[in-house]
Amino acid sequence: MERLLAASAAIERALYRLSMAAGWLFVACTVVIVFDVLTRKFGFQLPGMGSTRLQELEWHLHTALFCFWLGTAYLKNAHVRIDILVARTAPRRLAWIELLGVLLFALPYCLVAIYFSYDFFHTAWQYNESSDSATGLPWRWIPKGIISIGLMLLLAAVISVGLRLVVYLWGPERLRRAAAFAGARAQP
Amino acid sequence: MAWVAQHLSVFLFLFLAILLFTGYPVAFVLGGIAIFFGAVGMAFGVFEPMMFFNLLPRIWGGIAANPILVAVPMFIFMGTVLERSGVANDLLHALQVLTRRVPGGLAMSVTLMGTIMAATTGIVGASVVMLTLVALPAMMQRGYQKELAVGTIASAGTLGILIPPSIMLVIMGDLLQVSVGTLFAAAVLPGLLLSFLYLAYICAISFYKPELAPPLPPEVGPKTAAEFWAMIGKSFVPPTFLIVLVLGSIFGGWATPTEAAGVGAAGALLLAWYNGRLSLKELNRMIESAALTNALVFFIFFGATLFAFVFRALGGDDIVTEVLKLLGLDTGWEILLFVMGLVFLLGFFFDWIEICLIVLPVFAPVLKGIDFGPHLGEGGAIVFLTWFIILMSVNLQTSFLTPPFGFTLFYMKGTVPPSITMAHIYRGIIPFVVLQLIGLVVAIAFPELALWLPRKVGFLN
Repeated sequence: MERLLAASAAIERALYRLSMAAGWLFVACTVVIVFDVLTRKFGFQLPGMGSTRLQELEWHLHTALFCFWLGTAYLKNAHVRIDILVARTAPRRLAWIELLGVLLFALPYCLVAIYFSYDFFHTAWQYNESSDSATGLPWRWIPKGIISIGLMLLLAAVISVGLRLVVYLWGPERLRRAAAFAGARAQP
Repeated sequence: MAWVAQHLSVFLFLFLAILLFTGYPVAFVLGGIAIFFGAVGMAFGVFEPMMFFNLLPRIWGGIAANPILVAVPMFIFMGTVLERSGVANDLLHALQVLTRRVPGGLAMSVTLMGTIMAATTGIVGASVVMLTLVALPAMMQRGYQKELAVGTIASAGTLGILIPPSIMLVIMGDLLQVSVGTLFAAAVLPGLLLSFLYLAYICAISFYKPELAPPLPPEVGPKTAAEFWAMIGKSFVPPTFLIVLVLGSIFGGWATPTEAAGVGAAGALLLAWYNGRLSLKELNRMIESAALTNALVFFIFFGATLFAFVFRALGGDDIVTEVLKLLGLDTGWEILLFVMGLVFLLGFFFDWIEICLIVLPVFAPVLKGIDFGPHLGEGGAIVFLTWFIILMSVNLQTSFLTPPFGFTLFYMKGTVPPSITMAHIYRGIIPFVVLQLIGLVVAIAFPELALWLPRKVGFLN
């Protein structure tokens, strides 16, 4: 049980670090947009950095931004829940609901989505797909791969929550407190 | 059995309605239930496993490779930075001074501030937290009635997502293929109308019941004219700068909403830096908060994309048409009023993201065929969709405030002092929800309220 809890915490820490690093893409995206607007207004461009490329880069960054945060948002309990009917439910029962949710909704969704997203990425990789536009960015498999990675990170978060719930529900008394699904319904 | 196979989409919807209330994250419920019903559909031979593959091209084309939606993270980032940039404190102080001789002046300054902040930010959370932190202590100190204080703050903060820029308009425009610039222009006057209704209500109630809203002591405010103008400059220049930067560049046709959002985010960072609020630690906190909000929005996209696809694959579109016919709704007006009523009711339990992403795809095919003829004047389908989206947006304002599940209420609950209970909050928002509904009726009766400005700047020709 200690190991399960440690594994859960390790996943959580690793995901959080990765997400925080990816969060700087907000700043990167801001810089790219400002750069694009300015260069176009003043009618000059750096070689290899035309407007088409910059605009494609913007949504590549946007894709990475949400993909790298899907899992962390679950661990931080940021995803929207309709919790009015369960607001006064006992913590143990809530943990049960959460575990059923993990098994019946989250895991199947992640597995199906990962399976097909890998396929989607693999095709792009095989043909070394690039932008539809001649002046666009090469290596379109990168953003496609990022979607796949994002879903895998989400799966890791789901597993982390699942492990913690198992410890909370069946673990020895002294571990339960540490394993209490901290985020669950504590905040909006 | 054939009957079950034909009506799987109905069961899908019923299951969704029930299971959402388990409190499990909405996006997972949407996605998980779609997979389950896809599997059931396979058992009945009406769904192919390979059809799940469609999920990826849809995530790709609809969410990722979508330059319009880049505006969403940028507006969220801009709002989050602005929330912590210290712009709000100066502005509220200046507005207080300006309105100090009017009945309910402090409450009115909150509404005015909500309106101005709304024109600089595209999200609700930022405005509400900001207003609660800055304005509520001041109102409590003055001895305002708690209900009036929280109602004013909640309604003013909620304007953030109606008055452009607004991520809600970006997303609805993307779903129904209306240009975001048009929607931003169309939302200006309805947003100002709501703001005006709030101001009128506050002024009236403070005039007739002065004990609810005690006035400020006259000595508040600057002593000399020079001080006065310095204060006005310091507090009004930053937001005006951002509004001109973002909305000016969109309405002037110089920038797409995405570009305006990026430039606005840069502007907000500059202001935060200028006010000395941009340490590395602070920036990391801004990034984390913005990234979580952004992930929340797009994850519901993930779930809703699969849900809408499976719903459609199981014949949901025909069922919607059938149900509308069964209810005897076939004219445009009947369908419009039905959808408006439905959205208002859903607003009690859901917030705008789920309502937009579940309801709009379901009704989109029906809506696109509606012709309102002379009521909307010239312009055809796009005029109707623009008007419709604005009506949705005004209507969805209520979803932020209506208990038990209102986004604004949650943000407030996390920020108010313990002496203010949920009961105060619930009682406080009632008059403002009524005002929002009045605004909705006005916008339905007078479509030009929404359509005049986009026509004027040439977005609807």
